[in-house]
Amino acid sequence: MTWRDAIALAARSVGRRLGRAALTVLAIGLAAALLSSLLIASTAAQRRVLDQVSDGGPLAGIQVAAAEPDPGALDSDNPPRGEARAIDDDAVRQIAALPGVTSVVPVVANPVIVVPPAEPLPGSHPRRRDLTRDGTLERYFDTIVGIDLTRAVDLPIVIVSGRLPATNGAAEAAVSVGYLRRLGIDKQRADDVVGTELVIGEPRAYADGDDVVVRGRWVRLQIVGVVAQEVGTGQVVVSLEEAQRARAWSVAGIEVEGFDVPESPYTALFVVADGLERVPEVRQAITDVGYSTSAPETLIESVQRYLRVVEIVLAGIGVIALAIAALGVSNAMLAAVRERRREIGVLKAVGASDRDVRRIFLVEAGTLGFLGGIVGTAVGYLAAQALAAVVNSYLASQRLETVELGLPVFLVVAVVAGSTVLALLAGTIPAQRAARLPARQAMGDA
Amino acid sequence: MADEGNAITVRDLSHGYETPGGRLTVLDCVSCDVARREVVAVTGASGAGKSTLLALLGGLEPPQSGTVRVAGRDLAVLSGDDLAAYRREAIGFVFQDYGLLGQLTALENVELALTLGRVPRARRRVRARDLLASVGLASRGEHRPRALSGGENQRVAIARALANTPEVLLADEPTGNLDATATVAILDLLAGLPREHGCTLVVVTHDPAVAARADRVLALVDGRFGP
Repeated sequence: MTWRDAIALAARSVGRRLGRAALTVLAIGLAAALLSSLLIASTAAQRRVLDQVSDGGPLAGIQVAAAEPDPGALDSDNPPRGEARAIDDDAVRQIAALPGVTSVVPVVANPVIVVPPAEPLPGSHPRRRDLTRDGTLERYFDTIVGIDLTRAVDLPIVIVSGRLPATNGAAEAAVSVGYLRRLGIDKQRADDVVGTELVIGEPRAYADGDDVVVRGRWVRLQIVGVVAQEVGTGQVVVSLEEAQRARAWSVAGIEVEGFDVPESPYTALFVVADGLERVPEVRQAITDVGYSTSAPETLIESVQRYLRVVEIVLAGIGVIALAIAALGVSNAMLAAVRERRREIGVLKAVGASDRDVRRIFLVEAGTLGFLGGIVGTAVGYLAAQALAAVVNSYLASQRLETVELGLPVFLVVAVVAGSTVLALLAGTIPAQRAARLPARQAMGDA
Repeated sequence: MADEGNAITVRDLSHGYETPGGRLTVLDCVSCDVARREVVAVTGASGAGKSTLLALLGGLEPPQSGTVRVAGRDLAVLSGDDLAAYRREAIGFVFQDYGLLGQLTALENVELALTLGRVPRARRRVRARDLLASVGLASRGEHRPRALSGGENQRVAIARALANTPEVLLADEPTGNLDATATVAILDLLAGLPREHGCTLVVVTHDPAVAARADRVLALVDGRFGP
């Protein structure tokens, strides 16, 4: 008997005892659902936690400061910076050419005077110190952070509301949650600032005789989004070009104590390594080039190890459930063998060998496991979605990034294949028992 | 051994079973010959050893002592797989309660022996349709056993037994579950098989009417052939 014929015959046999087959499939399905939902939730949670640890950026991200490395702090995740050292295009090219580097994104920060809307937004509660005596919002010194917006995906930036500025040179900006605090707005109401305007003054210092005069280059920007960003310390994110224009304006002035304009063409670089395991090697190479770096790879690796343990425990619970379901398969198949002694005898009387009978019963068991795996994966995904809907509802209310559940192909394949293999193992003894039944059973009297 | 021209040769065949009360001898040194295309009825009371003889002739279990030679094969020396191949290639069985698989249609039941023999699907389907037509069930091929009468089920069983063109057809009380009309029809069908299909027919029965249709009657009494 060919495998194809055995599958066809097994399918008919399963269909004939539909009630028992349905219950057996349900048992496997529930166990597979538990396993798949736990793994789906665990994978999503792992991604979320790692996003949190890496501030939404790539796990293998490294921040390069415009400073020399501190030799005494090489083993630290966040070493104190040494003397200032300019990052220019040559440095960018040099670092980009290092082995294990997949991306280098320059960052330019420049001091600015931020002029928020004069009147506080409705429903906002600014701190007293952020208000002028006549109740309008006080202008304040801060920093704009310019990034290459076409490569924002390589940066630790999480959009809380709205979007990032467009890449077409429009006068747009995104603000950080620090700006919301300045305006006295809760993070939950981040949407309220999207669409409003702010004015930034890019300062330049002049000597006017013995006095120093500061003039601003004023730029009006529309706020298009709110971000939780860790690229720099500023509250305003703009395009790299806008930040470079601001820097060019500021450095053209005179140096004034307490009014630091960075000498380095780029304030920092964000380097992405080719995998978390290559981060130490890349960091060392950048240090050898002469720049200070910081990256949370040790923390991320620790978190990943912890999450792996959680995943193993959850998978273990699911596998135990599957093993219990497999016992159900074994029981159902043993009952089927008992009930079908005559049928087995007839099969042998018309020429089935022990191997044919074993194959038919194994295929039956495998079919139950396969169907259970498919049902379980689908139910597990739906259950995880339902759980995620509840969790996301809470996260959204807190203005936190929501969780997105995926159904990875490898998970579907693993759960379905695992259910099938377990059912096959569970069906081995019943199939062996069926194969060993004497052909004389066909006469119905042995 | 003088089995020239014989489909079946049995010599000094003994067979028994272990029971809690000791060994039970079912067949006690029986010998017989059955010529090709002969119709032989094996009769006897319950427990006389009829079904055991049929099981041994059909290779459902190996003989314990003596010689059983069927269709040119010495069954005593065949392994389990060889016995399965023997049943698949040389023997056709007809059972009292038909022995059809309820999950298969009549057509698929007839195909079963060919399926086990790895005959290509198209070929076995044509063969099964022809056989169903030959037993008068051309239009019932897609019906399952529960949708057929007892007589029709037995016709399907006969068609299945003929599917592999067996040299020997073994029937165990083939009319035991049938009414008078169906019995006559099945007996007519069985009686014509040696002529139409060239096979030898051994029928186990306790029904004198069935035995009367045979060329020869072998009566088993307490595990031995009577006079």
